[in-house]
Amino acid sequence: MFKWLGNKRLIVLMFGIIFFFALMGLTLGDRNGASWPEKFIKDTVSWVQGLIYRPTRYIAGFFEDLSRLTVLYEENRELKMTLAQYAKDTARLNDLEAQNERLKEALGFTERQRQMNNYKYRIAEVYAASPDPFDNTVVINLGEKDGIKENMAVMSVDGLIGRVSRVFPFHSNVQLLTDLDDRSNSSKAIAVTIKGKENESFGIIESYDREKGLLVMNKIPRTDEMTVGDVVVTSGLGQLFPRGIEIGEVVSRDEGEFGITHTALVKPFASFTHLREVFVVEVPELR
Amino acid sequence: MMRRYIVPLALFVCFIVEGTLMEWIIPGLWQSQIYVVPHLVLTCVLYVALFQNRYLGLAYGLAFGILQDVNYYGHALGVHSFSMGLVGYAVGLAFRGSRPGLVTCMLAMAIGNLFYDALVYGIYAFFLHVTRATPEWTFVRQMLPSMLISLLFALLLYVPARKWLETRQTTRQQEEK
Repeated sequence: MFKWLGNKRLIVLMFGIIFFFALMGLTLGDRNGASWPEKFIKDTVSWVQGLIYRPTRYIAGFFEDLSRLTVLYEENRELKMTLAQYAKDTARLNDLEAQNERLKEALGFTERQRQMNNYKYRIAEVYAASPDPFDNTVVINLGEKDGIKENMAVMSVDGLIGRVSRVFPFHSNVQLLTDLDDRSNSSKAIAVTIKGKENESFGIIESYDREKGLLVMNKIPRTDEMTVGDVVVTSGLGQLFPRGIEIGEVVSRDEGEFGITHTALVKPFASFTHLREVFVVEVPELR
Repeated sequence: MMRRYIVPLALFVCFIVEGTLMEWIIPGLWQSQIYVVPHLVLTCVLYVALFQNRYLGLAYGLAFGILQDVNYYGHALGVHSFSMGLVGYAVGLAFRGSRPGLVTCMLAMAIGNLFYDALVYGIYAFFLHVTRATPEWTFVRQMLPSMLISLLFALLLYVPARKWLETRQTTRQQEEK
């Protein structure tokens, strides 16, 4: 029966296809934690990546710096002026904070309510980025041993970048916002609102339009007052992302898919390529 | 003794470089408007499949595909291992028996890269439903530029690949045919 060698190969191919498609189907979407062979492989490879990312960064930085010398002078000047402005704002902020504490005491707030907006920002280095364009994941150097848990929000200096999707003992995978898709099991939508109109506006960022390079915000009520140019921040209503993290600004607003709600396009503040350091937002445990 | 392990070691180095150095070498503008992704590891696996036999190509493709899947787990395990293994085997099968010169090698690389990109995109879009990009957009913006950049790296790697992979045994086999 197996006279021709071609026959046997086809059977092997068929079994291979069945096995791999079963594997893909079974592992799609949420998986609770990583199995130990995965943890071992991952930490080994990421450790090697950690060894060479510094010389890599140095080489890339060298070429980048050469081309940016003039831009650096301008930036320096602008930053010095902004810093002076911030110093003035800090004094006012300290004053307001002290007043806030006194008033909270006076009203008898519980400890839990007081800690709600005290986020801890853990700084992490980005070791590697996935070379697959449809799988936007980066690897950071904080893991289970550093207290990172799944679904923590990750942001850069400019704005929200993504969330921690998988945790290994010494490293973690971060799924970027460019990976959001409302049909996929492995992406979580973000409940957002507008900075300045926190109790009046509402929207959900569900997907990323790759062709336009903008985030798509759905389910905006028709009576909502958001306009082009508003700054979009997380609202914390979804219980997943903490409140108050900036995401981007509204670029356009039109009728939604079913004509019941509106849809807006949001241009993210953060850039998702060439990431160096990111912050993982740690929300204090609610008691 | 070192000769025997040079291919897996070189492939591992290529894998590490693909994750770390590539993002910084490719200009940022190219990365946002067109998705240029040079498939270094795939290029090396194709060289192994072309110059040695296709079973080795299949084995390396599976192994380094699994490494990529576990390391950058995004949506599902198995996408890259399946695609790399299949493409390694298919290219080895299509170009078996011939002694590939420069042009044939580049042709094989181009076909292999396009096939790999098409497989990965096809699985993500039609089987797993995790992306909404249309095939036309993906072809023009991602597959074609990636293939061209991978061809460039294939050209750079041609001489080392020839030197390390084509042992005297394979040349004698091919000359006897």
